[in-house]
Amino acid sequence: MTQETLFKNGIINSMDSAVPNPEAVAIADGKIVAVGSALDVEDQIGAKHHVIDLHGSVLQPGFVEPHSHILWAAKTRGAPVGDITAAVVPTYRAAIAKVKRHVAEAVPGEFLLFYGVDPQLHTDMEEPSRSFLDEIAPNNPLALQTSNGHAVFMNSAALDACNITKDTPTPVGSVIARDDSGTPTGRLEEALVWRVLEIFYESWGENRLTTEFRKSIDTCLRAGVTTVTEHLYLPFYKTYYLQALKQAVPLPRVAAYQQAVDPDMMVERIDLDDRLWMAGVKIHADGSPFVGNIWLTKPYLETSTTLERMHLSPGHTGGPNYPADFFEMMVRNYFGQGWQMSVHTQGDRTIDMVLDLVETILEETPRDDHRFRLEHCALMREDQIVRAKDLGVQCSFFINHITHWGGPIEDALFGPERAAHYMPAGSAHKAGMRLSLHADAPMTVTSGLDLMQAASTRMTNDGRCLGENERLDRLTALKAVTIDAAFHIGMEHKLGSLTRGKLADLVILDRDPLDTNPHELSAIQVEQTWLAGECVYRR
Amino acid sequence: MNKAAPNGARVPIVLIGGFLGAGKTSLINHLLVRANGRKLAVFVNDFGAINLDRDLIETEDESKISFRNGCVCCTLNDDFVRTITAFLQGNAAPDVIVVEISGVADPRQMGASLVALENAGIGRFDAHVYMLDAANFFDMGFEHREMIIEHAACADILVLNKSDLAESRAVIRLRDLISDATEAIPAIEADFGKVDEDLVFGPQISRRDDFCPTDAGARSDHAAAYTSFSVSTKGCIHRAAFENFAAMLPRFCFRAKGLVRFIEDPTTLLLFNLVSTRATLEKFGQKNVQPDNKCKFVMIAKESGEDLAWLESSLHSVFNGKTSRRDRSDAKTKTELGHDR
Repeated sequence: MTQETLFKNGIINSMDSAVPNPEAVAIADGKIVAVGSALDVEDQIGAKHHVIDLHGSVLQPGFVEPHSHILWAAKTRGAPVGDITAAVVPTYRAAIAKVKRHVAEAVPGEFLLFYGVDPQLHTDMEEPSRSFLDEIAPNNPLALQTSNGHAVFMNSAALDACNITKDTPTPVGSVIARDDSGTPTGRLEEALVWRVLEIFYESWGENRLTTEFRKSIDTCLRAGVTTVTEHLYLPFYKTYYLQALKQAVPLPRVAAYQQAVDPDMMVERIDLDDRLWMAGVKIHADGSPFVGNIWLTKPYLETSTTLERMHLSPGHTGGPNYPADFFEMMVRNYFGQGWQMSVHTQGDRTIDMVLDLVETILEETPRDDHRFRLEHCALMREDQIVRAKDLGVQCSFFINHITHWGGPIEDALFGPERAAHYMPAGSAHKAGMRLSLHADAPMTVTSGLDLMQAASTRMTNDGRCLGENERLDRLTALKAVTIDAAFHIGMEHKLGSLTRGKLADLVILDRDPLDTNPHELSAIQVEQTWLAGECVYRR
Repeated sequence: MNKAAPNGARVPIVLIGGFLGAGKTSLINHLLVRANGRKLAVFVNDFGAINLDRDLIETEDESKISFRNGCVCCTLNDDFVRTITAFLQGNAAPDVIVVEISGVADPRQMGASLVALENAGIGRFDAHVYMLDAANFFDMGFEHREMIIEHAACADILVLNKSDLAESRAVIRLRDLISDATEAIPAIEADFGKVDEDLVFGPQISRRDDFCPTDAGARSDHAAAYTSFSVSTKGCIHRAAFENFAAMLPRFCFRAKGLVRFIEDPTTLLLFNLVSTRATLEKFGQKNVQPDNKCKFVMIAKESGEDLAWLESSLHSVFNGKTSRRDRSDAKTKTELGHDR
């Protein structure tokens, strides 16, 4: 055994209820070898060990991000994609001005893509029509993607480049908006968006992606995140992970969930030394609350946001992405192969549909510990939480919606009653559910501390608390980004707590998240990040 | 969200941003000279860049310069919260904390630190002033220009510095570009970073009974750039009337500040603060204020011609008190000690 490293003289949150606050932790060969009192731990390791004196800092397991898109984040938001999210460009008018400045600099034919047009936060937004975008960029393929990633607006050159014409059939599960004559208006939704934007990404070359992927990795390490997921994994992604690992880039551990858009895909089997593995299959049962393509029992509010900027009809209750029988075929196939399912569900009617299906399948073919996952769960109802728990269904909440879009969620989309229980993490906890929280990069920035703050305060950027009864206590929130998140990706035996025998992924913080004002959790500094026993980030 | 500190003594924090060479240090030098009775604690990245007349300096060591007018200048290390917390533990509270943001850092990353200082009852984020180099903006590369525009969009007040050196066409072009990119953020032209200090700090509220702006009567030969109005009342005011008044202020004012009591709750003294489009109203403690029912309010209006008369009459009707009016000139016309840009 190589020389051990001993961490001591600080606060240690092990997230292991057997020894919640040990005095010392020792690691060697990428694993945790001893946890306990300083004397005991020193007793168990060699005399010539290396000591990391915490000087009162806080040691805890590395954060586990249970729903993200680490490589896809680099593709979708890395340079040269222009950032027009409302956080950076506050109005639609300013966003269009930015697009025009970029067009003026571009060479003819260069692919131009902008991420972040936002019907909820760009309150002056008008839907960008194909002809409007043609006028702005007559000589370049131009596309504006919404801040949730689920829709894109394209000009004619972009539609041509992506080979989307009047005769293109609309793929199941996606939308090609068309005028009365059947001509595409430039607006696309769902899986088709992600497929056609690959044409943009390819035009920028391989080096671009490698560089931007490094940045995506750095973001995780700076935030103390040592395990992530790739929630729309496509087989060709593997090259980039392998390349990173081969070049000794400290790639966080990646749990891949392969994207299914039809029932007969081959799910790749990957298991690479706990650094990259195929965790399951991801399906979008519905879309984004910010696009309007989610399925609800009660309609959206009728406001200028929903009627004018999202172009929804009065009384809009949306729908699922796939016809029910098609969706059922997909789930039955991949669940039947033994995969963990990770199903994107936002609207409560969608959640009813999925829970009905899970119940039926489990009655026919009972399976213990299936950990069927529901992702995001924006409008999940109380009765559905109880039902999900009884079925062994796991819920992961996209809590950062509250921070960034909480204001419009209450005022413009769903009203105060539904807003108070939007992303009902508190109810899930009270029902005894083991829940996780996620940032869904690229939609919001990967950070376990941001998630903790969002879940324990439910404060919106415009200064209101959205549903104080749904707030989590700090311990539950910390579990939801460490051990319980590890449970959701099926790795609680190896990750998520400082327990002897587990992998040595650690983070050192300047303050204790369990003893910091919930409103200041985001301001806690990550001092060091350790991945597989190596220090991979130091402030 | 602002949480009032028990003694109402949270120190306003002003951020000064701008790309390398935009004139942040010039502005800071200017503010140190024209503190006008305010005790400033200024935190800068490059200590050596502060270049003031030796006569103004009282003491100087490796990490701190003390000035004769009561201001101090300190180095800022990478932990903003710790630097400021430590300073306040070892020194008397200043009237204003000024922090220089590194030219290439994203100002949005300051957010969490500011919240931490606010929650700890230490500081109150007051204003973010962003400097642009009007003379050289269009000579910079596209990426740099885009970054500057992005950072400018987070600010409350923009300063188009070196406007004396810029061609007027370039200034107009820059103004148009900024107006497209940032909408409602006011942009003020300046030379040598010489900006009216009340735009940066907010107007001072006098403690005297016959309340009027601090240096009333100081007129310059140049045409007035802004007009300030002030009012004081003997009694409380109506909350609803004040709120309506406050809601329309961003259209007409750069800055406004007030100490107000509402008829609905006469024992609570509130501090109103408006910077550009951002307004806050929070409890203000009993320290340094008289135990009477007085309300005081002062605002700096944009150049808006006939709107001014209407604004003054609105002020009068909300506060039902005597208003006073003062034309303000650009600070650049006054004698200054700072030399570098």
